[in-house]
Amino acid sequence: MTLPRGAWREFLQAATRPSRYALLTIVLLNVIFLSAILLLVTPSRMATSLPAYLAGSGTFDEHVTGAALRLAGEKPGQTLVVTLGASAIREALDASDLEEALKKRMTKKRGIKKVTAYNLATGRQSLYDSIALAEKIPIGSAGVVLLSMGPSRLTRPPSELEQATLAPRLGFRSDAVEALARARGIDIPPRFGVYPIDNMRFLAPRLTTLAYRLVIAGPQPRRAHMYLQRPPQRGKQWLRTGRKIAKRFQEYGTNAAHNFDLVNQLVALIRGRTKMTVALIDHPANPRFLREFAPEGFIERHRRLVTEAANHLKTPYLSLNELADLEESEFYDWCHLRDPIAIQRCADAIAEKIAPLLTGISARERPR
Amino acid sequence: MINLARIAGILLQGLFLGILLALALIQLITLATGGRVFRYEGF
Repeated sequence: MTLPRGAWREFLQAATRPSRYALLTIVLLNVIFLSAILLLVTPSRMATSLPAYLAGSGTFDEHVTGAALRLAGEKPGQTLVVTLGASAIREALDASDLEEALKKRMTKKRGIKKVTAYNLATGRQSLYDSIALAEKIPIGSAGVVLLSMGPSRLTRPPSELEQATLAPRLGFRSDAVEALARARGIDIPPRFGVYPIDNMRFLAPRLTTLAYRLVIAGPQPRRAHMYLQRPPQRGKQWLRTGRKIAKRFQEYGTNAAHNFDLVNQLVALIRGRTKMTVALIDHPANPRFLREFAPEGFIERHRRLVTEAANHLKTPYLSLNELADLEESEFYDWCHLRDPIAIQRCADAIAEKIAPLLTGISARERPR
Repeated sequence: MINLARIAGILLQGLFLGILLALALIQLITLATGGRVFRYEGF
């Protein structure tokens, strides 16, 4: 096929000179983009396919947003096990392992047909985000909420409330967290009842990833673990991590009381909405880290304070280090497990402890 | 007569600048709203 004479010149001229038709194409294209976002980014898609297109490599917030929205869609009265916390507990408690371990321990006598586990832990999850996630548990659910009480979480400053509301890590709005923010004088963006607009602060920084994944890279499936089978940290890397975490622990004294107050509010929220038992849980901690870097008496003090909180709240307090008998070689760093057998042991140990706490809800009690 | 070369040129310009504008708008909205992606893995 031959091009007509002068076609190239016409093409180049049209491609390089400004024209009203080119301007129309630019505007039309952006109207199509905007309409596509408004029409296609919906909570139901966020609960299913979209998180895999919004997630960068190594980010879990999008997938946990999806899981939380799926959790919100569970039928009322289901028996659930929901884990809230940071990356250490995400790595240690695999939701499918936990379901399997619980299935073995369930008896029909308790009236439970099925237990569904959700691990909603994300790296450095603040207690504000835990509150937002807990709000997604359907009203009237039964089961257990495992709330991670690692010492690192209790060092987080109150200023995180501003971040949780103004630069959210979760793709949904939380009434409880926004009420806390308003009480502290933080301006909350208005809601319009349109999902992408209400959650623009979450979506906007992820739109380039969305375009990249749609056009080039494809979806990024959720990974249950990031540290599995990795060689353990050694030498300078180990020292750097140890010092960094030990430095973080210095904030414990300043911020622990505020965080225990948030734990009280979180437990009250769960108890107000559901029939679930809350269990406080200490995430795994490498015994070598505790020996080499934790300030003297720090862990004992932390455990004493969590025990006091558990007694006050009348909740169980579980320690994974003790229950699963974890060893140094099973850790990647100070708290992340790398050993699949150790991870399985954690699920078995927790299932053993929480199985007696799981109760079914009779048809009469079940919310309609 | 429809000039296909001209239409192709206009579309190419429109698509190129349209995508640039869309990316610029995304960055602008991100900056204006203060949203960001947190990568907290490891610690």
